[in-house]
Amino acid sequence: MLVAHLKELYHYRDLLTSLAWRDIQVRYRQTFLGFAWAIAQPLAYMLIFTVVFAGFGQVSSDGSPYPIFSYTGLVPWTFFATALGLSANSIAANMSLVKKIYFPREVFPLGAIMGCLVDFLVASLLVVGLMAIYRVPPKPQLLWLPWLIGLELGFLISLSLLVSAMNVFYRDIKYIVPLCVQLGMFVTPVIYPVSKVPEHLRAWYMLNPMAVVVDGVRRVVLYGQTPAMGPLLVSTIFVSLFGVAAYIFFKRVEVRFADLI
Amino acid sequence: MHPIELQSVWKRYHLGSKHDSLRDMIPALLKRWAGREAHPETPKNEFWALKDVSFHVKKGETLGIIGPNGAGKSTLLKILSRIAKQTRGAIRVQGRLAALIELGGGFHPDLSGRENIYLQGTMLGLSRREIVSRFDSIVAFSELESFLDTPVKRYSSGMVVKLGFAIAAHIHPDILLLDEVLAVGDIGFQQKCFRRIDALRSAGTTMIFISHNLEAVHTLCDRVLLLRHGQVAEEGEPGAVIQRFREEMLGHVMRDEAAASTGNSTALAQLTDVALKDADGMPLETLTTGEPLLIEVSYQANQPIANPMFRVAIERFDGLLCHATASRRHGVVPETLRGEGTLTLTYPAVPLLPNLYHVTVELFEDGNPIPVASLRRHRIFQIISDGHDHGTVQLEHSWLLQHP
Repeated sequence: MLVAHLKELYHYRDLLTSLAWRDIQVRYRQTFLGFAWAIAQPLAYMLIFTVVFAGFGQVSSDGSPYPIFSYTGLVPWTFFATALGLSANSIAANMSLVKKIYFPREVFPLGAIMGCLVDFLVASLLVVGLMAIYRVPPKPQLLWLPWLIGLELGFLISLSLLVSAMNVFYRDIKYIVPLCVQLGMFVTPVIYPVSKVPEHLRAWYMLNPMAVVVDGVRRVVLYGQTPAMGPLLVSTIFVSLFGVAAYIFFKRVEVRFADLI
Repeated sequence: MHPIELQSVWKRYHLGSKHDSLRDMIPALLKRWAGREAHPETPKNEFWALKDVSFHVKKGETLGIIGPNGAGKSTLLKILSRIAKQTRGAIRVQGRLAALIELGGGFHPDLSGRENIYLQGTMLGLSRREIVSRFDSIVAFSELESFLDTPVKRYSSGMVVKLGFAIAAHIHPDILLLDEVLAVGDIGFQQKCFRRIDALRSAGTTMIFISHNLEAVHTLCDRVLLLRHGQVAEEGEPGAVIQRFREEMLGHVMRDEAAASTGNSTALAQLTDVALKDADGMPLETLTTGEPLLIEVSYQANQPIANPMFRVAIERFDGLLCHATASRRHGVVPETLRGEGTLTLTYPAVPLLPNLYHVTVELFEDGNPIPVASLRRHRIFQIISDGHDHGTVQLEHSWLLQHP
């Protein structure tokens, strides 16, 4: 059954790119900076964090310059936060379409994520620039990046399928998601390194797939280390199972979207 | 094996009991746990939009679905197009199905016509490559070449619909669902739409046409299904089913007549009654095409009315003005109208074809465009026919076939 759904989704693959393109166009069409806004947000946070945490707070960054340390964490985190926020409301915001035209409804959250993925790739370009500025040489461990980004995407897709469907029935979800995402940043090593987490809590801490992703990205980009393998495998297995469950849930409630008046 | 088969399809909607926010849901859940409300969805809140609907459509056939408002037509269309899912029963659809329900429903106002062709096209299930290969044809059909790069928010509503139909017409479906979408655009474009649909039909496309426009249903469909209260009430040859539906509507209309008709009278005058009669002066409600019709208007002038003019109009039920005439030029009505009286308008032979019609009468004074008294849609009558012709009026005709 899941295979049939995936087949149908594949048939509508061009709609995904259409929707993502629509989102990007609408987001940047009447702005002066255009795509530069994709960089602006993580960059602004980087500057603020550098002044507040590295300057006043003396937060350690495991030996890396704090700007590149925080930016490498902020890029995957901003992607996660923005995409989840947008996809959560993606179906509810398109209810008029849901009632008029049939197509698999998961294209709404997936399209929203895809639109943000473009922003993420643009923002990642600055990482290359920062690597040049701070003389961080690229290492072969960068080959782990596709796995890490894939893990983040998988987690993001699973969560967004869940919350976007729930938000159709309970519009509170739209407000709960940004709140949870904000709190989530504190249990993810965006501002501080994992080494600051007390040893005995670290196993629990690394159950958060985003902690695995952000820590992994820093390890491969900044330090030329492999990601922490145990947590990476656990997260990958967890996200795979979660993804299947979320998709099954989504397809089950999807048929009820159009019945809501 | 038919392209569309429905077996005992039921659809239930819940009314008003949906929790839209957690604030509504949490107390409801608590109540449920406390056992105070054994059945949270009481049958009162349930509404069966479709009840045991079964039918099939043969390959290449055009099926019309008619019925009063609320009979379940839209629900059926939604279920056929997979927008909604039936509560019970089975549906089988074979082949690529396209629904011309909401033209341009997926357009984004900020995007250009060109971008929206891709967006809407992919929503309707086309691939990007298919759109690229049909793009020029879509644009040519829409007649919007010069507005392709204009944001759709600057389009007129007619332009939006044109573009929407142009895209939908290029899906090349095996099955086409049609709603009231054809009443769009200017006449030239409407013709184009009908030609397109005819072409698809000739090419063997199976169609379902859901409409209030009974004439169009009669013209387009091979078979008609009448829905009533979510059930299939009649099914069969278009002429017979449509006739039955009209009779049914006439019954409703007669009952609501007093409420539906509007009129006004001033201190100057009143129109006290409008009566429809046959050649023998007997009141009638149903008339056969070609028979005579007398319209008797009773008036009462409270004050003398200078240069009076009576206007009588026969309108078809869908609003088409069939005939209107004014009394002034005929020298029947005196220069000043006083007291009570009856004016009779005689049609020796009414050539109108089967449908429902109503009569509006107005009395004007001295060229004043606002009537001093009127009775709008006061009398309703049905025209039936012995023949098989349909359309607006019966035209005298003969056939001749010549071959060497």
